[in-house]
Amino acid sequence: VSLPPLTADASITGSRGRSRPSTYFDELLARITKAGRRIGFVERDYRIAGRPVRLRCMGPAPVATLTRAFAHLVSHPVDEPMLTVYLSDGGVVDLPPFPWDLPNNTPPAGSEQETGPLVYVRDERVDGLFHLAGASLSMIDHASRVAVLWTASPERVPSYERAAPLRAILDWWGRDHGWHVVHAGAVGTEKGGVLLVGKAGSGKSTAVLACLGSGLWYAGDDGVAVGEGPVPLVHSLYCTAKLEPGHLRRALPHLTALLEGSEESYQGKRMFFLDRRLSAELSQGFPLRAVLLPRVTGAERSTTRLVSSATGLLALAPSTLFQLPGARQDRLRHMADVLRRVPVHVLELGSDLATVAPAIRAVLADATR
Amino acid sequence: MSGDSVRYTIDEGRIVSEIIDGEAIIINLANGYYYSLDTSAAEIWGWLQSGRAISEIVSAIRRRYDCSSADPEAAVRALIGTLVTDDLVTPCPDAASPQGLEPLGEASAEKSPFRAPSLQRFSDMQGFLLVDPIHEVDDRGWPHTKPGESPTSRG
Repeated sequence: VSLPPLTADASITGSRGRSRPSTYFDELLARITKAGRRIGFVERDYRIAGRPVRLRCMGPAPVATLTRAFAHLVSHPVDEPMLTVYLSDGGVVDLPPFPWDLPNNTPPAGSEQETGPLVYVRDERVDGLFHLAGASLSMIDHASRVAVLWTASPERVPSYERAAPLRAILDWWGRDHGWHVVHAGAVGTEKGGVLLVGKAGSGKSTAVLACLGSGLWYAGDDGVAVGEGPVPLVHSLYCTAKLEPGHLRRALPHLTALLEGSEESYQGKRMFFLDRRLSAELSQGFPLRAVLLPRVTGAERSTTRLVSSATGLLALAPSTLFQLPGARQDRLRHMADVLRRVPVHVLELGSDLATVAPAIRAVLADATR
Repeated sequence: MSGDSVRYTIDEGRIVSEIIDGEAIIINLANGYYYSLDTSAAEIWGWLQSGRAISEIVSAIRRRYDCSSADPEAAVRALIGTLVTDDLVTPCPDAASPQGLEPLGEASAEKSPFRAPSLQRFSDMQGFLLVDPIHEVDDRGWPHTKPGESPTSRG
């Protein structure tokens, strides 16, 4: 399965009105609903960021690959979900003729499906993101609260989409409701929790997984939603975690069982769905009390030290903004507002990872005192 | 028009920034560089954002700070030179003074010493951007064909 061919179709040669993102979305949705009448939808309902969301999957393939990460957010169906997402693929629906002005360095589809250029389009009604090499398309219509995730092939869904499905769609939708997706892990209790912020390799996932079994619940290791307000709320999006298997065996041997049933991820990591073994330790969210910046140290015990909000923003904002397009000044302002409201600490990760959770608990105790 | 009266523009589609704790965090979305500006540099960045010219900025610094052991004009020019070189601001010689601006920099009774502004540049996101560049289609809508380029030659 490859990208739709570039042709001299009228939508490419410049009939701009026909080629607006909202027009393209309408045409795509019409194709999906027509195919859905033929093969049927499998529906799944969730509460994401406290709001009802319905996923309408075209056949069993998207259920298997794209709903696993939401297992801890399963909910009863409601009459009117606040977001309906159609999950479709090239096996059942072809994309309408492709009108994007593609960059000249576009790689062939599937050449490296985990990376590659993204094309972001928008108009007053619709946001859309096309991953050229991975051949996936995310679009949302804010007016109708309907979104589409289309992948070229159900067998070749990029690992980032299996681990963190609908990331762009959820961020665009969250914008309508006062929250944004940030690149961070999160652990906490019903009274409050922390974000763990840093680029890949900083120790986010290790620190989050080290808290399992400590009474600090898991809300995410790489992406969560964060709301606005005096006490911003953290919303869990995914029950997945990713770690290099050798590192897991060495650093967190008591969690080695997670490797059973794990899936291949990117850059040698494995992807775990924590609901399979640790459903009682998964949180849907909590009030944010502090932001932590993990740093791997040579010390034995984990400790924390207070740093400035600017240091926190420097750690949180770049990787968040480079992952997802759209409204980036607004999102930067949102992150800054959050960081002005809670203390920021560096979390010096000790080699004894059993000391991570007590260090975080001490921060939470200080923040809620 | 003298160099002192030049104002600068910031491409808000490409450059995002926020001042927090007195520091400015600036991110160039096009090339992956991001920056941390200390307190005095952040203050100058804020003034540039509001359309101030170099002469206004230097005067404000002289009113607010003890500049007896520093050359604020050289410091401001050096910072702005870096911002221009890094494509964060663009000189706009024909720009008029924005309307409704208050005079800059209230005089302080007790002036603290002026510290030369400093800027830190970070490049660790560049690799990320090279692997996963994001092409944002601009307000001209899409598709749009570059001048002199036939649609079928794209891609």
